Amino acid sequence: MATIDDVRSVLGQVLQLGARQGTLNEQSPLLGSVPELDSMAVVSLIAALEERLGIVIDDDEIDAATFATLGSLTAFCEHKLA
Amino acid sequence: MYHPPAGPVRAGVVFVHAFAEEMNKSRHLVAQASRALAAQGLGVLLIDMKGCGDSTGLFEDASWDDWRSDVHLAVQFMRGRGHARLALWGMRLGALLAAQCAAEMPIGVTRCVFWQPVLQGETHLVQFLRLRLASAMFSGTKSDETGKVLRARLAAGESIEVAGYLLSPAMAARLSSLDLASLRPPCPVSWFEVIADEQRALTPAASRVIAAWQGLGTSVHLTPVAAEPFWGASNAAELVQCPALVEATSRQAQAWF
Repeated sequence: MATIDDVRSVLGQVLQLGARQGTLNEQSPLLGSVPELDSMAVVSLIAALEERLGIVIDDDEIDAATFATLGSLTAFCEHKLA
Repeated sequence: MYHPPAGPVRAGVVFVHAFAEEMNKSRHLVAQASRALAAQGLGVLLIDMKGCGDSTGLFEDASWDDWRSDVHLAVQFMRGRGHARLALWGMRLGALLAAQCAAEMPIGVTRCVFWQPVLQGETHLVQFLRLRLASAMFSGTKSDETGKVLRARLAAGESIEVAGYLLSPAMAARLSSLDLASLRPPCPVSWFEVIADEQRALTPAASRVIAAWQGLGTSVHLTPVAAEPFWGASNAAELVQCPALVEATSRQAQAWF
């Protein structure tokens, strides 16, 4: 499974997006655009990504640019997996 | 808040809530589950511990030991109402607290029920502090704050505000020392764990705790529930739902006592 599918699926789970999950593509804006993505959701999302992908995300990597779009978040995770 | 049982009383349940925002966001879900348990003849007591919810006192003044006393008082209250058979039902950090209290009670509780228990207080603290870092991201204020910086400030005796909660250095230190594995309850445990889907196994960390307890003779009944992670649900305006968990809990409650 491509990383983007994993990230999309974690996002859909954590934010309880339901059918909207399927409409997300690389360009879809996240932070500031998806109303469910508040600070608590960001923390849950990080924990879920760490668990699902087996990566460790550092505090100083919690950055608005990372969470800008599904594409930017996926690129970040791919970088952590590399 | 007491949910009286429908019909004849079978047993009592004392709910031990989650920490800070997780408590707040799960209120509706817990009330729903409580009504489902009451419909099965269980009397369910929901308490707000010191400094939490509608309780008196300030969050930053409450200590872990205050919360322990609150749980003990709630159990005494239920015993006073004639509940000889009692379960402690703890959610997330509340499960850790319930496990600890269960081991301390002079008259043991009949069962512990856990909803997505926090395994390590340290992990919970790290995630709680991340809330502050995540909030900074939304306000667009770029700061050099990291968990390490916040921990150093706590260690130096400063309270840290996180998502509207003032975290005291004493609470942070206590949280960081808590380890569920070392708090094995002296009674059977019903453990509910939400997983992404049926194909996914329980996290290795949770499996280790359960195996260790079982090895020491504690009966642990694990129920994986395929659902969305309700405890970190995002939108406060939308009420957190997790019907699968409520249903699984109330179905099993038949066999608790």
